[in-house]
Amino acid sequence: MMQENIRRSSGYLSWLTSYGIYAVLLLLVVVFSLGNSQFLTVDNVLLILQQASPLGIAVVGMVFVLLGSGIDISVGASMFFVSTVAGCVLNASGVIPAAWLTDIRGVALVLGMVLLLGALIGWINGMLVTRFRILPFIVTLATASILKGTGLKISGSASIGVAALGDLANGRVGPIPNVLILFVVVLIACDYVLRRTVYGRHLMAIGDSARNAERTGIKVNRNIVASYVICGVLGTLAGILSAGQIGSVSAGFGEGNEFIVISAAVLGGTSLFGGKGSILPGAVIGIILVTTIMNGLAMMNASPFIYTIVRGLIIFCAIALDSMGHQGELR
Amino acid sequence: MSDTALRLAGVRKAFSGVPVLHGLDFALKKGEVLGVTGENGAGKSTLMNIIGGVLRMDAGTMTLFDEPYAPCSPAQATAKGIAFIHQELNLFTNLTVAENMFIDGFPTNRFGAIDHKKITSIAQQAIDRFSLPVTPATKVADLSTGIRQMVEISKALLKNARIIIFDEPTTSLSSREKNALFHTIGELQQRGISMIYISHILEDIFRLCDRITVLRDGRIAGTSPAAEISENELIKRMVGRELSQIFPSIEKTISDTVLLEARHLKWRQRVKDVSLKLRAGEIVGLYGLMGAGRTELAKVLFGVEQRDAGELILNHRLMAQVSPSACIGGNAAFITEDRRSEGLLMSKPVDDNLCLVKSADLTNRLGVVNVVERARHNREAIKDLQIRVVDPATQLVSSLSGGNQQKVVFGKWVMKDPKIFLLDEPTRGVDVGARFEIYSIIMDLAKRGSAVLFISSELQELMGVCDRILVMQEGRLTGEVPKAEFDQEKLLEMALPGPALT
Repeated sequence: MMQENIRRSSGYLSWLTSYGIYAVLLLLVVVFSLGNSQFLTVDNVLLILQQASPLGIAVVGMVFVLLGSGIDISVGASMFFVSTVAGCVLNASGVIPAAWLTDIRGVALVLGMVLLLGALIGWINGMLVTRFRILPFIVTLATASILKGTGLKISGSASIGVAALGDLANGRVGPIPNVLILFVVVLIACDYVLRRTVYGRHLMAIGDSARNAERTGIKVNRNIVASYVICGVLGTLAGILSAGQIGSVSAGFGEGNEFIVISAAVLGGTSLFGGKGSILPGAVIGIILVTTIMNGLAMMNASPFIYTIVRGLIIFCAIALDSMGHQGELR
Repeated sequence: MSDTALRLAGVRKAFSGVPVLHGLDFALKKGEVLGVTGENGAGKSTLMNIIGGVLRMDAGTMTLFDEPYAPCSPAQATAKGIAFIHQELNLFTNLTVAENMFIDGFPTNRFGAIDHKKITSIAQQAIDRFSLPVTPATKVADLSTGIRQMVEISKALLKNARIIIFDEPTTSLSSREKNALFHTIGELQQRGISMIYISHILEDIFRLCDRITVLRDGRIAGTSPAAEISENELIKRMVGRELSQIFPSIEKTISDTVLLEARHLKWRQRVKDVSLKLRAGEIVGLYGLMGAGRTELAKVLFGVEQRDAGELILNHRLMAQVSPSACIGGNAAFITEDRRSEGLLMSKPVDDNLCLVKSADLTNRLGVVNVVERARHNREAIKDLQIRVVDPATQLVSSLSGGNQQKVVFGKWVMKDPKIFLLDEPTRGVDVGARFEIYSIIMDLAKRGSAVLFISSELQELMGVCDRILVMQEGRLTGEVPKAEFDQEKLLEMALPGPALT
């Protein structure tokens, strides 16, 4: 009785899309540890986690947008923009009291400010997508260009030091990196929102069928705008942390991050077609896989140009798998 | 308190000036199962969409349990206790059974989190009530259609539905699932829930319903207790109109040359062992109810879908592989059902649309289109087909009436002078006056030696235009009737599913 009534998707492809990523990760770990004995050490694993955490936070935001059948290409540019603004505020002694700059108050103030900025960027993206019915890809491509240009205008394309953020971004509590703790907090909170709140379930419903959701009386537009706001805020936070890890914001900062973030989300099983995906374990495994590849390549002394190629291949494979597994109308 | 659950009086509805419902009076009694049937386009779905709050009526009143009722949205209809079980279910496949049941009203705790214990336990009760083989945490994507339907019914009951409307609910069910559904409908009735059951499967309607209402051309053709009417009488009510329309009469001869022949075509579960022949000069009608597989058959014939089995002979050549471009090359044309999205570039001017197919023949060696020649062909087509357009170079197709749009589609193909025409519902959305012109075009095509396959849901026009009519039902050809033996009731009988009627 049970078997007859319950339909399960089976077969090679579905196995590949659900468990393939673990196999790939395992394979990579084996290959990289054979290539370099330093790869599989506690120090390096913690380093990978520290490297993965900032962008991992952005991936969580992206999962929200993707679940609602949207996409946000502006994440990389908004990381650049907000970090530039943060750098300028931190360096211009006139804006906030000089005494604050050296302690936690300055950082907290800057953080609060840029998170608001991130929320605003997300809200604008969301409003353009829902009210003006412009394709999310185009909207966020345009905002990306505007944010990038504005940031460059502010910085004059010079590199801006953000050493004040270093303590937050590179510090550790015992052996555990601060950013990892922050990442875990974001993960747990957002996973809860997604799985256990009305908002999370409604967003999933919208991603499954916006038309049905509308008919059921779900506030489709409002929920979608909220997903862009979440993505904007988390993307901004990720940008600040990653700028703090590097110590400065150069003209190329953030470039290509949107693709790392999107491909990590998709590798983690979040569909570009909406309605399917998860934060735990999806977003986590996705960003760890991407970071592991980058870290491993570095440890094997691969040419930096290879990174871009590998990144492209990852995106391609992830999206190809997603599209093959998807049956229905293409967006 | 009267014994009426829902009453409609004088309900009218028109779409862009074309009336679809002509003042319906209609009543659903408390606790009864009312069957609603009628041909395609009789107005069943429009009526139900009005009751369900999807559409607003133009005139008339509705009364629900003695209170005025005028829903502005489906959510309002739900709040008033009206639930719909559509052919396409309104469930979210990526959510669980419990989540789906509460999607529009999750109970939450103080922190805004969903009270998971509560929804799980209530969902479990609902599941137990019908002994469904699922748990509250099962994802809907993992359920079969029949079980999904049960979940939707349970969801409706949780919201205290007083009236449940079933719209062709058995279309994608197995026979066992169907029996389970009917059993459930019986239970619901015992609990005092009133139901409207829409279907064209008469056997099911007789089995389930207390009374049967027949809709015809936007009017009620009669309501009778199921015990007091026979299937034959019901069919009479469904078709019972006079052949009032006028059809063009054109002298033409049918030759023996077979232009298109299909032998034992099969495609998925939609086309089952279909064989047919189209001769030069012949207009062959293809009649069937919605979902009978007519459009699918046309698509297979034209190579839009690849057949699973069978042979296709086009212009005396056995085609190994059929593709739309091979068919166009072999002088066949396919005028699709949905001209807005498949047949026309709505936001382009008439000229650009007319020359879409012909352009390839008007190019020089470098692939540049001869504009002068193109304009000449376009002017000819506009004149021949009497397309009413002021300036074909700038006027957008979207600004034309339905009839003129359809003529543009014809013009597009006629220019290429094809010998085989597949027409899928060519008069849909075309007003009566323009229909005559479309019929004339079709007959003229046949007169010039083309073979025409004319797919339609309207018996009347098929009987007026065709030389013979093929009837399709659930993927099979169930009948072939020559012109001399055309009879509305007989044809409809062949198209209706279920055991053959006597």
